[in-house]
Amino acid sequence: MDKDIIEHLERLALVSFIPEEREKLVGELDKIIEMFNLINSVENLDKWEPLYHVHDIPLTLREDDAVGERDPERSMLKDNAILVEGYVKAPKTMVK
Amino acid sequence: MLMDFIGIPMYKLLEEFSSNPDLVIEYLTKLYDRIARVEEKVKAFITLRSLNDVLSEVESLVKIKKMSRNRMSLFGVAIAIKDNISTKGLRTTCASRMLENYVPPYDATVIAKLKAEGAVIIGKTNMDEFAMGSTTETSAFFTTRNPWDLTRSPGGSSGGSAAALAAGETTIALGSDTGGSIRNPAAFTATFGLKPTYGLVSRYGLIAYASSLDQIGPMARNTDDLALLLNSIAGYDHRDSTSVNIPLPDYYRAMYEMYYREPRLRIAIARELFEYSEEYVKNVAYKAVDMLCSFHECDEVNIPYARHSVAAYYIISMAEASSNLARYDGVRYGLKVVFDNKNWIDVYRDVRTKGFGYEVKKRIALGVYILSSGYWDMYYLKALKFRRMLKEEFDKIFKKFNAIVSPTMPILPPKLGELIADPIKMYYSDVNTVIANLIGAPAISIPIGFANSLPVGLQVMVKHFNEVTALYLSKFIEDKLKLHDLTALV
Repeated sequence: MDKDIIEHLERLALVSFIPEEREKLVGELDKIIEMFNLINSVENLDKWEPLYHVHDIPLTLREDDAVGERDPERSMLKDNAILVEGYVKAPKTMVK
Repeated sequence: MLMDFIGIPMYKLLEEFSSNPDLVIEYLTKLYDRIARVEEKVKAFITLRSLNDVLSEVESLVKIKKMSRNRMSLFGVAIAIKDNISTKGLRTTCASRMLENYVPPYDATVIAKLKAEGAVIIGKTNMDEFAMGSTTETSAFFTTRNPWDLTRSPGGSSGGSAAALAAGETTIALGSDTGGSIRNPAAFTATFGLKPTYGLVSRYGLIAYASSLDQIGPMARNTDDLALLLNSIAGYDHRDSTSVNIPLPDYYRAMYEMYYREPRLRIAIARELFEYSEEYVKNVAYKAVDMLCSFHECDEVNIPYARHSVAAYYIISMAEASSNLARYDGVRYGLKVVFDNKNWIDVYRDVRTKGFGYEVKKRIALGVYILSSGYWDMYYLKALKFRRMLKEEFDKIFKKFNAIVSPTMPILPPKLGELIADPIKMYYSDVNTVIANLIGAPAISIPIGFANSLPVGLQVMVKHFNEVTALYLSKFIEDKLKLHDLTALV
């Protein structure tokens, strides 16, 4: 059961655990879920509105800033990204 | 003239530098001597700037100071920055392999403010990877040690900043606090740490863990320095949509006005948060409370659902983390893997598996699980409803009381390896600190004594934007107990 859950988590989250990590996670998972379940023991929670933001303020959109610095050489990307004719090369998204 | 600058409070240094700006060079040179003596044992810094780099920056700063008589409220003062706050041109790793070689192209708002005030950034401090941990042991690089006992943890996740302060390696520091990450290491190292009200300090440039809980805050060796540093970093920022646009006081001045007026406050003693604490911690904390209550008016209050708060905190923070950390795809920045013939999903999984450590992968996986169909309403939505209920409960307490006090941490600084081996124990050790993050309130940790030669901190939580009250109580305690500007013998 735990092995199935871990494989499910790996598929959902797109991460992999090495064998030692899996073993560790098996030992922890039940206790963590048990902790999560504490929230369901609180009575009458449904009468409350969910709180997304601790201040009752409207969400503001910032004003557009004029670009002060330009980076035509894309120097910020040069150390890491693969640049092809000024475009960032990414992995394939289509599989044959 | 101050012969030895080590351990001298910032407010005194500023007085000296004001009349003689050239003293900054001597101060920084002596500070780097201290770092050279202790850093190998403490290991507080992931990236330490060279003294030469720092001095060449300071020389021009001194010239500006002399020419323009610019006040620069932090002129020449060394500051250590937690390594999840973006510093232009200075590596910012989040203690993760994922960002091991990442050099930000811009400064976080707080960094721009500090530079404008003449602060000198000496380096970036160690932390739990992406701030996920309570001991600084989930750092992908190395473990920071508690200067008071090198076999113990300095706490976390801002453990590097706290250890650097306690070891006398810096005068002030910045940390970030999502569930106690400033207050926990402050308590474990006999230093001062403040988590401000959510929205008081801009998060622009803070690498996100859980955005609705994260807050940057000041760390220092005394209350005055904490207030002065808060003055420099607080304030509305249009680049952070959660930043709050309200008039702010001069925290230092307002704190002193209150200190001289010395009002008697109504203080709530958080019953459950004392009960959950170890006997050693409780004994020290009750002594501090007795002192506090000999002047102020105190009463015990029940803290509803304290342990449930830990569950709500981890549900919300893991859910938000899973979303925030989805950006690390290894395409534009961060860890790179070869992806020539692999598809996007395989590359993405590969990057995340190699770039993140166990604790981060675990929190992402559980966060995704919490947000998945069927569990979203069972866990995440319930936690958000709980958060509303908790906030309303605390609003009621704050109608009757000016502050709520408890031990900052229910345990003494743990032995290295002890807490990380038992993650549930580690999660529950956040029981006293997570509430302030869930309700967005400010909370401060103040050194109040030692048990078995290990530091104990008292947490003072106040209502939104009442940082001045928290600072006043910190100053009150500091004044009575004289536990400030302490430097561990490393």
